[in-house]
Amino acid sequence: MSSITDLIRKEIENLSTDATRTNVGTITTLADGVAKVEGLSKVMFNEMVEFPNNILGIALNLEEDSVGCVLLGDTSSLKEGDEVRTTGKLLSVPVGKALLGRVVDAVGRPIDDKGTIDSDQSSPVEKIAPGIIPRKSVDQPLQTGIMAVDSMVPIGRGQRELIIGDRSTGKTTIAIDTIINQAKINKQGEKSGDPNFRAVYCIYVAVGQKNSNVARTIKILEEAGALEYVIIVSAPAADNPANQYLAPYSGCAMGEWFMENGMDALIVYDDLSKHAVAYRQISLILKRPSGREAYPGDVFYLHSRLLERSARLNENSGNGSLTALPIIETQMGDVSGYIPTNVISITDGQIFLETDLFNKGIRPAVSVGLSVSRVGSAAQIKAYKKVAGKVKLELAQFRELAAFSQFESDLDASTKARLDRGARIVEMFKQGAYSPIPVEVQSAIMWGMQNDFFDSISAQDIQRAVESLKEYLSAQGKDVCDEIYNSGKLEDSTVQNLRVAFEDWKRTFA
Amino acid sequence: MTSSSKHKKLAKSLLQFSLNEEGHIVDSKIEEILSSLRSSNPSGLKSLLRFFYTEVRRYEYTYHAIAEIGCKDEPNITNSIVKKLESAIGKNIKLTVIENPQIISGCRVRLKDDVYEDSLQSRLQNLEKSFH
Ligand SMILES: Nc1ncnc2c1ncn2[C@@H]1O[C@H](COP(=O)(O)OP(=O)(O)OP(=O)(O)O)[C@@H](O)[C@H]1O
Ligand SMILES: [Mg+2]
Repeated sequence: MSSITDLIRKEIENLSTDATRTNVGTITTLADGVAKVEGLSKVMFNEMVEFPNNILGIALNLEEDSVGCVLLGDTSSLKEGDEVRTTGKLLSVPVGKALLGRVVDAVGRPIDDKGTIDSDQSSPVEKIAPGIIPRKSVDQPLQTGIMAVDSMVPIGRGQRELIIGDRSTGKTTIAIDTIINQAKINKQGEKSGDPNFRAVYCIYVAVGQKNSNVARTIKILEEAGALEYVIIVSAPAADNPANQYLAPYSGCAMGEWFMENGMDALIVYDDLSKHAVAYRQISLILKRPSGREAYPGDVFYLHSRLLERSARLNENSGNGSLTALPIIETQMGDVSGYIPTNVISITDGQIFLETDLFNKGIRPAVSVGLSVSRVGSAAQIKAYKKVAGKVKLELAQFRELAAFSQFESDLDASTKARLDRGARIVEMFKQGAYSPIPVEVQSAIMWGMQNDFFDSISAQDIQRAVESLKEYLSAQGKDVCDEIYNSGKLEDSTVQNLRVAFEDWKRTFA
Repeated sequence: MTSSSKHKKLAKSLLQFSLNEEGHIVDSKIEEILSSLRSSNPSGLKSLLRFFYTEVRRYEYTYHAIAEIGCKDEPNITNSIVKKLESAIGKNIKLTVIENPQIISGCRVRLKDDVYEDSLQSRLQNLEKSFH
């Protein structure tokens, strides 16, 4: 009898156990979404740690005998002395096409009442940006559908173009317009069945915004039928600073998935000023040394490592791209602030929006002098480049002359012609919110402007003329637009057809 | 040097005085240190004692393991745990065994800030988590 039990006991002893080793610590202080933890000697930087009640945190400060963690989620149930354990995992978020059309929080959990997201893939939130070898220079256009942008500050796939301006100058509108335009192009391309067509998927990251604003944005995208191509990552102002700090990186991980799988994606960070403020808050509570404007020393790295993850990959690496449109809010038009100068130096150009122009009714309020795109012109389609090449110079000259001409009574003919042309271009660039124009129509309108078809129309009537021309081009003039769309060039025959179309339109427009 | 870092340094050397050859803290030596501190009453005694407290506690954790087991304590269980831990960290171990019926079966050993665990409780918890 006893020998049998001994046998069984031996058997049990030989069985392998399933012991796990975790590294633990205890909360010593807890304030403002940040916990100081004693112990956790084996925690990794940026590792996810687990607090009681399934609350997650991230280890951000590894000090000699304590660890500073930011908490994600409701911290009201935590108290001093609670046990914290390591998880051995870096924070990751779900990625993939299943997220399209959804609204998620900073860690990728759905917040839109549309049920769970069945995505079987996830990706770490923090990742090293692609190096030099897999990259390629920007050579494909990303059409925003906004004439003032596509003509003067063209954006290419894989570019990082900053949208900067004071509060309420139409920054978000430019980004949303761009997303709506991508959705339009995607639908058109998918319908055409062209195997070479490359859709652009969009990610909109809302950081530190009012919930009402985010809701409005979602509604606009939904009404425009664009939501099915968009992932919205929301960390509103009421969210804790840790989530606001993380949201851009989470969104970027979702965008990178498209890029790494050979697709094109566009990501909007709205906005990085609030992101920097959230990071400053965390850093001050973590007692990191603060520098200029009380931002911590690594605030440059905060944005550079994020924006460097946008890239255009070459054929060997799958040919994907991630275009970034970060948004920065300035105070009183001051682009020399700390955060604005940092982000300007990281990006490949900026669209500067001026309050003065916006209030004068020149919307979108793109400043000609201060807006640039350092790489995008290489990606403009040939037809458009041909007609839009001079427009920036013409407008700049117009602004200069307009300032002087206020004091002059009689002007010589050539100055007057330039002023007239400039005034008409300004009118032509006025464009309502959420009504992007296809690139071929833009090219046609611009061609008409360069070939003096608008000269006989007074400046006040230009907008009406552009509206009627848009209508004409989508009906009778559709063939010539298709020609531009398909070839991407302005052949002699296309020019001929354009001339005929414009003469025809001119007769109908009174 | 700030007074707090001075106190920290002093607390560290006081800790060295309270150890025996095995590297374990000796209660009587600590009592001796405390009573001599009490009688001399140097400035900043409170802050010094606070540092001393954390140093002692942290040091004690490095060799004082706490084992929670689900069943009745048996010497051979304790011995095998001590042997395993000593071979792992190469140091003499002091083990306190606590009976914790919540564990149900198996054991959880804590040494320094590491927890080694294989218990029915943790398996049930993992199962529960997998349902979320
Ligand atoms: N091109 C436009 N035509 C007409 N109205 C516009 C245009 N662009 C923006 N607006 C209007 O201006 C207002 C502010 O725009 P928007 O919210 O895009 O600005 P913002 O710079 O993002 O503001 P905030 O600083 O609050 O984020 C909105 O009501 C918007 O509808
Ligand atoms: Mg906005």
